[in-house]
Amino acid sequence: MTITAPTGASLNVTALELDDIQAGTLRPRPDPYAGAYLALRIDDRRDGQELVRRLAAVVSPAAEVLDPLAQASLSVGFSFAGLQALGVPQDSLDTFAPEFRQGMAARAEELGDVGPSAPAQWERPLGSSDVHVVLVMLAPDVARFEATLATARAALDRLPGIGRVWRQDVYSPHDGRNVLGFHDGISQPGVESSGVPGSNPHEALLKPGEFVLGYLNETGDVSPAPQPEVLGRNGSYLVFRKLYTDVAAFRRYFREQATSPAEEQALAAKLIGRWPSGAPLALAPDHDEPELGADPDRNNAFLYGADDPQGLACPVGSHARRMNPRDAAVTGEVRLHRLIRRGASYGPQLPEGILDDDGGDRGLLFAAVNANLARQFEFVQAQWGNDGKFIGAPDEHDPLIAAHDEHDQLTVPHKPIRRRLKGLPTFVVNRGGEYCFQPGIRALRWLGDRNT
Amino acid sequence: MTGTTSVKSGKGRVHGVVSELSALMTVKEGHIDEMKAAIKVFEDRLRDAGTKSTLQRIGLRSLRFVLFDDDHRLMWLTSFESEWDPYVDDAVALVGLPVWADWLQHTNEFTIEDVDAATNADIKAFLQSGQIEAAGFWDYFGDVTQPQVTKALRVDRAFQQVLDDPAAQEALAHPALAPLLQQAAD
Ligand code: HEM
Repeated sequence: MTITAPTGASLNVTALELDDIQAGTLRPRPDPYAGAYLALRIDDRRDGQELVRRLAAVVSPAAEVLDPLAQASLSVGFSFAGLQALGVPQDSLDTFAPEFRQGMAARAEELGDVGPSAPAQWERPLGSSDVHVVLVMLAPDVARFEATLATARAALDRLPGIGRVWRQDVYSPHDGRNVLGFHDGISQPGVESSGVPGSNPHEALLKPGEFVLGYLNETGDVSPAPQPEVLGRNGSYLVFRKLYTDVAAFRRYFREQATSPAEEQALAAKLIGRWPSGAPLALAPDHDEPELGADPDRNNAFLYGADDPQGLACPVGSHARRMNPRDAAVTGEVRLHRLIRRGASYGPQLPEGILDDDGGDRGLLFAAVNANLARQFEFVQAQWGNDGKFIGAPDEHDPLIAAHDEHDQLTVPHKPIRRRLKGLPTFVVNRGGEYCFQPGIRALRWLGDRNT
Repeated sequence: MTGTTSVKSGKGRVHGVVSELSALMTVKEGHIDEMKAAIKVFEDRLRDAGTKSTLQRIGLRSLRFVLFDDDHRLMWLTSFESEWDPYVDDAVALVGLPVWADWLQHTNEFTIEDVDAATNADIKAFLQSGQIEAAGFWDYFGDVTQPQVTKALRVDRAFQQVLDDPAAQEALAHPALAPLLQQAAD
């Protein structure tokens, strides 16, 4: 299907231009992986433009990274301050999404980033106007990550007007499990015409405009692309958040709630919605099934509505079920709130069996791609994460990612009698993040070539 | 103004145990600020009514004041437990004349000069004069009353307390409690 743009050009709004869209927009991260986030500040506009010209030649298009296991990718995003630093004209800046223009720190109230997660506590310079460019490198192994890093370094070579202001390395721990000991990055939506099937055979592919600007989306509209067309089309919004995770508190909590290691693991799995191997509770209600967890054809092939409406297998309030209720009866339309996740673990593992915090900085470098920050990421965080009305439990919040007060609890349905996990500590603290615009590759050239 | 309190408007749609009363009025020139303040007072009174039993006696289920047309007009939308018509005298009396008159006096339709002399019948006649029947009316809890909901919540709170007790499973194992045990899993 095509539409006519304001410029008179006719645009295809259903078939994705995979050679122009960045890999970092559409491709799930590899698994296993090694990578890094690099934040840059543009002190000199000409150096900034030179950097963008060089990056345009080396960022990976989605067409090249069809097999996530095989390829490394380098992708680039800009904060609103970054687009300003590059000299994007005001009438163009005004066409970006309002949440992006404000930046993540200004959205703290809406996102529940308060108390220890408040922007005032963030790691510098996250949340400030010093973060302009964000380079994301993700590769299937250290060698290919090093090669990607070398490419990024070459793009930065002899540009004194570019400051390197922040770096966060990420890697998959040896057994592929995140800092809490759970396999993650399993469930991903599929996108029409993207070449990625999605991991749940029971979920129809999503319209491309849910993730890429300028294409038809699930509401039947074309997701609004910033103007001019050359800048906005094939772009997307990347959300990243450095989510410190208190692993010792997690272990201690389940030690206190349980009478055996097996029960500890089972209760923790009820909170997550999957077993450590990644096997979903919906398909493996009673114990972990590592073969199921490792089988990409089966480990996400399920729904909740018919098989588990009460949450007896997978609690209605568990993290994974909240973050994607699938066909379960919840307020709203789930397909309007989907995310492509590209999160990655960071920091040293807390050695097994240790229950006391060692002060180490570890957690999830959460990353998600969406075309509509308000309707997708912010909605998921605020409505599904920090609220419980949508599942009929206004007093419950996401047991993993929400900040908890002393009344917070997780109801674990169970026959004959449900259990309630009370006194949940806060496990996750946001140490900073940003909303980035990830332009298409033509748009990168346009940004680099402007004579301002 | 005189009126008999027994006249029924015959308007207002019904859904199950709930009915609606909607009325349109116009705001007196220069009175908009007082009108807004009076609406706030009315809203606060209901929100702070304290005991549910007072609210149950009044019978209001939901209430909405909408100022529109550049603050010139007021739409008053209510839903009421049971039927408005037979209870309109009661509702007017229970809320109390001064509270009604407090905001009604800022509408052009309320023509009573001496508010202190107004009667329940006046208020009722006035409300009915502006009443328009809704073209559509639906309430999720159209088939249950407030006392039923309140009772269900009370019972659930008690039930959850029982379930939190480690001895609950044993206690609920008695055959007489089987229907309760069936509700205990989620
Ligand atoms: C430290 C923080 C977090 C940890 C440790 C974590 C961990 C996990 C794990 C273990 C899973 C199940 C495996 C999988 O399908 O990937 C999962 C699923 C998911 N999480 Fe998180 N998560 C975190 C934060 C977040 C945040 C902030 C969001 C969004 C606002 C989010 C959204 C999701 C989604 C959408 C799924 C997939 C659900 C499904 O499709 O079944 N997560 N997470």
